[in-house]
Amino acid sequence: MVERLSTLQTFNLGVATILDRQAELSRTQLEVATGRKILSPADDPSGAVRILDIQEDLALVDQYGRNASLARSQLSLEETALDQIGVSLQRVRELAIQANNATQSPETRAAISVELSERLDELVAIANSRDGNDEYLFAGFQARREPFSRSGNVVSYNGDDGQRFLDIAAGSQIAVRDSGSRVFLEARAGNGEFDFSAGAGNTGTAVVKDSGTSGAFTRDDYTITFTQASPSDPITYEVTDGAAASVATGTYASGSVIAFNGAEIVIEGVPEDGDVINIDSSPRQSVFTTVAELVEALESTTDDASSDAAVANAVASGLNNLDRALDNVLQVQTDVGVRLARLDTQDEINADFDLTLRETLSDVQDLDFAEAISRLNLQLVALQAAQQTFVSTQQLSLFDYF
Amino acid sequence: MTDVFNIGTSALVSLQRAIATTGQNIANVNTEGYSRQRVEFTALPPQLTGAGFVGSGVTIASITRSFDAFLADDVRARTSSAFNAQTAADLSGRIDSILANPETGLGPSLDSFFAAVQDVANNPGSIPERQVLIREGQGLADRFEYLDGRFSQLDRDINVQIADTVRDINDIANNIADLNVQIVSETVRAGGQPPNDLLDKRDVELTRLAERVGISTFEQDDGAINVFLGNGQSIVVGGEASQLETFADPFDSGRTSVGLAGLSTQTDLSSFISGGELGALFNSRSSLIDSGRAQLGVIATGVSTLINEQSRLGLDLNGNLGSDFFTTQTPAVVPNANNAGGGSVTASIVDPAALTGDTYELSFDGTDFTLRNTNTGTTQTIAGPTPTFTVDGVEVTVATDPPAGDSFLIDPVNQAASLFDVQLTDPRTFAAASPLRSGASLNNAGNGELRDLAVADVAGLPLGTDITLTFAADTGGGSPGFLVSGIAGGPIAYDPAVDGAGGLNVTLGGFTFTLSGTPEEGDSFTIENNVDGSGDNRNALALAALQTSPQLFGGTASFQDSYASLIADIAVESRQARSAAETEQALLDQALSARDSIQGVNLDEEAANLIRFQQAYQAAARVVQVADEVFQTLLNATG
Repeated sequence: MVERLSTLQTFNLGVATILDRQAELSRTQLEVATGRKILSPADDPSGAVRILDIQEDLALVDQYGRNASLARSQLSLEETALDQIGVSLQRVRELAIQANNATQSPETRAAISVELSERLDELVAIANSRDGNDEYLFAGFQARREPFSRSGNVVSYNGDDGQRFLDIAAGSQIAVRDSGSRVFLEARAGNGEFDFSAGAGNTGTAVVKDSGTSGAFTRDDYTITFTQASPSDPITYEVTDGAAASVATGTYASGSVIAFNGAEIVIEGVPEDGDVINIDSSPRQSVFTTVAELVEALESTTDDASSDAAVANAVASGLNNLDRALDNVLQVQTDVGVRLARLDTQDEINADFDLTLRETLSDVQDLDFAEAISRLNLQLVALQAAQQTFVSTQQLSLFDYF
Repeated sequence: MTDVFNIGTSALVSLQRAIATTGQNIANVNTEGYSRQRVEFTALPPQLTGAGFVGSGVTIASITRSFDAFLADDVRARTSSAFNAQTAADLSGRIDSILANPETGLGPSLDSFFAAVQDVANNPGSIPERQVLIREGQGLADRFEYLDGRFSQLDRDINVQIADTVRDINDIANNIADLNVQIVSETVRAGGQPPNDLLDKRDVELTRLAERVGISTFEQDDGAINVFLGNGQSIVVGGEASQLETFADPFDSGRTSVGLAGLSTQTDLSSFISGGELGALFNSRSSLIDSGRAQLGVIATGVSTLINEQSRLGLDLNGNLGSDFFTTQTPAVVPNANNAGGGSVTASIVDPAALTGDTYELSFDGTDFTLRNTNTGTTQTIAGPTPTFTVDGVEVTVATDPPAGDSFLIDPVNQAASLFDVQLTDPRTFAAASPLRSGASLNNAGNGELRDLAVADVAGLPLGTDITLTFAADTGGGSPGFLVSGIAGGPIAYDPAVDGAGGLNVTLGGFTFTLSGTPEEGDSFTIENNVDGSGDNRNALALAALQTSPQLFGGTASFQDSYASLIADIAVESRQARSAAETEQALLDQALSARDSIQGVNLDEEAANLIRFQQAYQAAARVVQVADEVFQTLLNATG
């Protein structure tokens, strides 16, 4: 359509074009200056929302990273304490074996007993370890309360079963503590199924050499009672269960297996009439009780065969219990190791995620400078063109020819 | 001879007028709204002679303006749309750029707050972390207040703009009425000739009015124009202009409405107002500010209510049950300013996930109540008297029925962001721990487990006695399970063969836990008060989990998601307004160009006209000269 143009219209049109070009140029200029292509959410609403999402995720990854490093230091602290426990228990084990040596006298056993008592103190001290925040490592939730206290040879636990977790990734938590009960109290005694002890009034030399199970062990507390009516009679034994019902009977032979209800026990030596061996279906026994029992067994011994047998039984039982305790500590240690490994994996995942997030963020919000600069140049040319056309069209007038 | 003289002089006079009109056009080349004027020549009536009719010269029939009423109407309509779109774009752009800086948004504050919760979880017994948490809570409150403040600042600005615009509209309406009077009288005085410059002036005023508000016009036979708001309320009729005035909204004294001045009861005219700046101001107020504030309010209410709920389920460092972290949010119930009074209506938040951000108007007809959602317009009838009902997560209680005709506005979240505040002052009273803990007996022979103990209801806490669960192969009815002592609700049926692997979720009293594994006869678990549990961070972890779990808008959006959707809504609105403004401006430019192609002055054209009229004038002068010479010749001959 050929349209009549008013002079003002031509003028306004030219000016408006120049202003538009200037606005475009200034926008590009701002983008280049800030390095961002989204200057306000309206420029790219979905991009702006993604930026918010990514920034929250970045903040979370950062927080998870901090949590993880805290978890690592807590777990390392626990690992150190567990190592110390292991070392200490090994020393206790050596002392126990040493105490069982036939060359020991009551005096040397008493000396060993004293050292064992010191080891018990050491164990209690380790169990009462604290972290940098003055929190007890092995107290459960009651982290500000000393969890273990020793009175005589009795060590009692004042904590609980609580375990602290930290968030290390979205929906993923890791335990950073183990309660004192888990580490020190939960080990089963004896061979894991049952524990044995010689009767306190035993006068013979019966010593439990070995104990184990064959098939399913019927859980109960049993008593093996030896009978020898006169020294010429054979020694017989009877096994009774918790309800005093007879389970097995037989003639005793040193070193042969006494088997009942899945339990197998090898006893050596010569029991006297009325001597008993108690079988307790595995209660849990604290590390401290195990050590305290050894301390007590070695405290005051006499230089005779039955006392040697009592020591031998106590040490045999104690060694069993120590092995269980060491197994338990090892389990916790393994557990801690697994958690530390998980932390490492999670760290890598978090680092990858962090990198991906940052790349995405950059894709969404950062300017493509090459594109922007060429756009800037194009817009400069367009502006110059608009200015030139304006000036040249405005110079045209019929009045010039008057 | 005289007729030749007369013909010549009539041409000279007419052409002088034509040159003067061309000069007027040239002079007004830059005058806004000026319509170029044209001289319409017409031949004078001829004289009858014996030879027939002889022409007797020229005269000017009329000086008309080049004007097309249709194009002028189009320009007005486009002006209204363009100014409407531009104002909307300006307003949404302002909000958009406030929200543009991610650093001043809600996101970083939410992140910092929840990071502080995590830090407390990392070290629950330590005071400094708890102090930081309270400070971060304060920071979050400040940010809510800041963002809400931006919205309310804009709300106040809009009030001022509405008042300014209404003043302009009144001025212009008066001008149009005055011009109507002048145009009618001048037209009569000129015997029907159009008063071109007055008409142009009125068109300019009409366009100025169209900038402010959408109008429609109707021209009377006498030349006066009547003007209406939209298609309804008249504001100029002939020489009379109605005046508008602003008044306070009956539900919200801080909000301006528009009505007609001089009436005893105010009627809101906003339904007539669309287009122009005023239309954009009203529209943006509801679509941008109200909805933005409502979304922000839902987030603020959600954060405070959910954090408080979880805090109350915890245990603080002093061993007491947790208390609210943030101040409780109470929905606003505003009585209409025209209420007779006497009714009592209260509201409370019962389910943050169900909140929509809508507001409701509750009115009473003497028997029943009507609840109208002012955002969606849906209504429901609620039977009186003194009902209690729940709408979208808000429980409304009418304690005393009001007189019939009274109404109340229930605004559940509008104030939530501005009133958001931290209630907790003593860091020790932050509930990082859980009130109960569980333990397994050391005598347990089996591998049964009691785990994930969580409190859902603190009624009955702290426990009077410890709770013990003891496994029995026969709990009395012949089936295995746990005997319970210390609380009602036992025995708990539990078959290790069935439940052992997957675990069994149990609710007992106000708490829940999971039983799993294979316990043996007599194995027992205890649940006890978490005395001295300073190392427990379970409730802090539960609080931290609120950061990412979808809790709002029907359980579809986390706090951050909700804020992001607020940003997105405003960004989309702003983007659309921006492109609408560009489109409307282009349409206006087209309309102006169409109008100006008829109406505008072109200097080249005027130059050509000058030449044309000058030549004609010279020729007419020659006619007079020739007539004179002919006359002289005759005089000399007869001399």
